[in-house]
Order: sequence, then structure tokens, then C-alpha cells
Amino acid sequence: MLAFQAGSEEAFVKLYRLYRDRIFNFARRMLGDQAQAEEAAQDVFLKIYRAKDRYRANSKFSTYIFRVASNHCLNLLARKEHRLTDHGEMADHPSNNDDPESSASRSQLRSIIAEAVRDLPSKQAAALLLCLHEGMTYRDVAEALDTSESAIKSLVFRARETMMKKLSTQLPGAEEVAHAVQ
Amino acid sequence: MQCNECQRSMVMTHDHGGTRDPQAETHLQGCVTCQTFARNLQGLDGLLLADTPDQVRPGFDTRFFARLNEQRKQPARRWHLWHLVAPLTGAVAAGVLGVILLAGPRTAPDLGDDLEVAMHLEMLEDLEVISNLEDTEAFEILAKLDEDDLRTLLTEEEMQ
Repeated sequence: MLAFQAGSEEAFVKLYRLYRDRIFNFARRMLGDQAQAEEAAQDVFLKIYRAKDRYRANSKFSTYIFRVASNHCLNLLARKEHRLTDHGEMADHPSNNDDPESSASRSQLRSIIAEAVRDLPSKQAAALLLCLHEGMTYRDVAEALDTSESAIKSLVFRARETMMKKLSTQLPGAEEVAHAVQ
Repeated sequence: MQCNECQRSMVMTHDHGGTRDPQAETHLQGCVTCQTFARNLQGLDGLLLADTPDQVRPGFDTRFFARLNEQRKQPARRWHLWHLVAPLTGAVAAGVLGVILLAGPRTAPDLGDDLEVAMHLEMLEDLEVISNLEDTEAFEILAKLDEDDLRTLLTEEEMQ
């Protein structure tokens, strides 16, 4: 990023290649729709490009880019533009290398998960996804979501509690889950 | 230890590794509810991680670089305007504070003055929010500001 700040366009392209899929998948899980996630991911990189002078090297670049991505997705969700009511629309753009059977089962699983994620308060969803899929520490997530570490602990805990209730039928020992989390 | 504390401890250890709190471990040995929670914590993550990363569709890069080129062609006028927001916020904050201080203490505050101060404070809060936003969002909000609001703010700045 520092090389890009110094004027290297090639450095930006490297960053783009490095983070493209991660940002896209984060947006897909947040927004629950492939096409909108692609557009959101592009928006994030355009924002990074536009605001290159505002980056300060006092935080990791990964934290910075996920901060931009989280803010962007949270804004989109807040505007309700990307809140889908029909989960039939979810993940309905199979990727190029799927066979129909695995694509169907994956699509079904994604629908179930995406619906559960969508029902979470947006900030809980973002905190959980960053912890789980990006392997970020609570501290980095706190920085990305502009809140405290203790708030993140609470957000992640509540997100998991809610998800366990929502996905109780999909989990092992399903019948016990509802009691366990109450 | 309560179940809730034990479960929070389990989530933290689950996320960041390390050894489990001994008190939580002791509680877990004798608590069926927390044992079920522990099992389902693993199950939930397994389920969520089954949503494996997907790939962008063909043409994504082409579309992105086309958008990037479009952006490069645009003049950076919005960026210049953005630089005005922070100084303007500071100046207006100082202006409003000055007005409040100059007005001095009142023995019998009337509703009209309170309302005016509240309106100013509300505008200040708006500007603080704007200064914390990304440039795009900030200008969307700035665009919504009433012309009279901006004129009032600028007048106060001049008075100061």
C-alpha cells in the first residue's frame, strides 16, 4: 500500500489481486447475493484507490481494507437496498467450475446460512464473519468496525448464540441446542 | 461460575486458541447445558465454514478496470471539497461555542434560546458524523443539508 501511495499503480494491481476474492466473499456473505457482492467488492477497491492518501501505516492493510469493506456493506444493508426478501435469489449464480449436483447442495446450504446471517444485526454479522472466515483477532475486528474489543467479544458471542438457535436443526444434537442457548 | 460466563469463555478460547479458563473447565465437567453448548459451537463453525469461498464470475476484472479507468478520468473535485469539511466543522464548533459563552448565564432561560442552542448542537453533531464518514457518504449527507442551515453556519463563522 505504501508503494501505491508513492505512486506505483502496479502495487495497487497487486493489492487488488491479493484481496479480490477475500473482499468479494466477505461481501457475498454479508449481502447474500453474488452480483451485488461483486459490485460492492469493486466499490471497495475504487474507494481504496480514491483514498490512497488517507491510508496511514499504523494499522495492518488487511484491517484497513476490511474496515472499508465492512463500512460499505453495513451502509448498503442500512439502506435496505441489499436486504433480499426472497432467499431464492441467494447464491443463484453458480460459479464456473461447479457440477450441477454439488452446486445445488452448496446453493441450498448457502441459502440456509445466508438467511441466518441476514437475520443477524449487521454489525454482529460483520464481526462474526471477520473472526470466523478471515481469522482476524478481536482487536483487529474492533479496529475494522470502529468499536472496542469488548464490544466485539459481545457481538461475536451474541451472533453465535442467535445462529445456534436459527440453525439448530442443522447442528449435531439439534434438539438440545434450543435449551442449551437459552 | 455461571453458564453464561463459561460459554463466553468457551467462545473466546474457540476463536483465539489457548487453554481454557480452569474455572470454566471445572464448570463444563459438571454442566450438561454447557457441554451441549461446546458441542454446538464446533458444529456451528463447521456449518458456517462449509460455505467455502466462491470465485468472481468471468469478466469481473474487465468490469473493474473499466470502472477504474473511468474514475481516473474524472477530476478530483469532490476530494478538494472534502478537505473543507474538517476545517468547517472546527470553525463552526468554535463559533457556536463563542455564541453560547457570549450570551452568558441566564437566570431565566427562555424556550426560544434553548431551542436555538439545541438546533446548533444538532447541526454540529451532523458535521461530526460527516467528518467521520467516507467521502461518498459525506457528500450525500452534505447534499441534503438545507441551504439555510449552511448560510447560518457560515454567518456564525464570519461573526466569530
